[in-house]
Amino acid sequence: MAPIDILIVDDEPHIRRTLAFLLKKSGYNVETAEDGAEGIEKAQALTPKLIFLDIMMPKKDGYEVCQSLRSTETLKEAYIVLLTAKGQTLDVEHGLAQGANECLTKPYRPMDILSRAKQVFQR
Amino acid sequence: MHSPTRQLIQAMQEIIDGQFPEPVETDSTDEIGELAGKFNEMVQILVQREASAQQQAEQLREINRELIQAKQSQVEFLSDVSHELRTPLTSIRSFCDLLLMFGDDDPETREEFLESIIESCDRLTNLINDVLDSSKMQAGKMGWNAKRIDLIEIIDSSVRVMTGMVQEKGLEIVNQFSAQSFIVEGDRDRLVQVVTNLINNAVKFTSTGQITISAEHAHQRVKVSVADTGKGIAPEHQDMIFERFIQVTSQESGKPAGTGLGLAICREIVEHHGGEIWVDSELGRGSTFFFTLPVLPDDESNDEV
Repeated sequence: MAPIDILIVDDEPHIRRTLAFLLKKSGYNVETAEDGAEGIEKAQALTPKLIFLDIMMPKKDGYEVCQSLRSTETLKEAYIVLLTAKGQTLDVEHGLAQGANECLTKPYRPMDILSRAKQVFQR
Repeated sequence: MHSPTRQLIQAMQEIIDGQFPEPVETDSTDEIGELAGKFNEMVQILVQREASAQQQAEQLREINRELIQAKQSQVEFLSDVSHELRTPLTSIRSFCDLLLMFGDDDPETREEFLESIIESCDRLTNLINDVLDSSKMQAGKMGWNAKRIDLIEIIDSSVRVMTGMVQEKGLEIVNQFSAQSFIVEGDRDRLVQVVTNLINNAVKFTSTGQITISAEHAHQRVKVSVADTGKGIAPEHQDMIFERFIQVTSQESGKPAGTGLGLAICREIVEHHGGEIWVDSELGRGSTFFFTLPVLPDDESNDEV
């Protein structure tokens, strides 16, 4: 399968819809996944450069997904942004320890999202 | 054998050392004998007081444990609530941002986004109502409006509220009542809330088939059941779902819509009315939710009907 730019993994349909809409409008090639298991599957198949990853999800949570992505050779360099609804320092530290590049707290601003994308795709 | 006076002195020393002495034995009928008798009585009273003080201390420790636990669950509740609030807020915020940025591009998308905002607002409203209900009930501050009412009327009202949603999913509601009326004493609106909630859950988790609502007498009680032909609940989840913010996710449907407080509120309401609520289910074979309420004698009801 052809590689994509960005993968969004979140169980909330509204979050998937708005993030995907925003990033597609900005010209990126975007795919979405509804839960952790699908997230891992799609990430491995589509090797995105940037992944927005929700933490609290059914089946596999964001931490587990993160760990599993980092153990995949083709995804070691992917930029992973964890999306957390709690914004507690504990979550952030735990996320970074599992291999995420950074954490964004919901509600985030569209500019936060777009600036991450710009940063990643300029490299 | 020591003299009675010596025995008394020894016994007193034992008390000073924190022990309870054996009764002082003496055949003396004089004042020393009387003293020994009174002393023995006194020791017995001390023993009783000590025992009851220890019992009270244990009770206090138990209450303290419960308070700490209650405090802890309150903190968890707040953290759960804030998480649940943040999710629809994030949606609203994101849709508004997108409307500001791209609102003029395409009327269809604009309409979709506005509808999603309304949906998220409704979700927030429901959540806030449920949180208020739930905390009032937990704190025993809920105002209850108890009246003699017919449970059949409650069920009919609830079914009417849910008709739209039931038809939309192409399901059917079947009633099976073993009597004309079941008179209970209770808060009408709250009992409608229970039945509506159970029907709502049944509809939510059922894609084809029917929802059967039955009511029958069972030992001075009425037993109501709401049975669906949905996907069922795994045994390990059947008790959990009555806890606050415990929602069972599944492979097919993912995260269920709802506040995660519905069944906890149902349980509070049913238990307040002196009843019980439980579920009987098997994965893939549907779920049946039951609740019972004490029934009043039927004599006056016939005049009213």
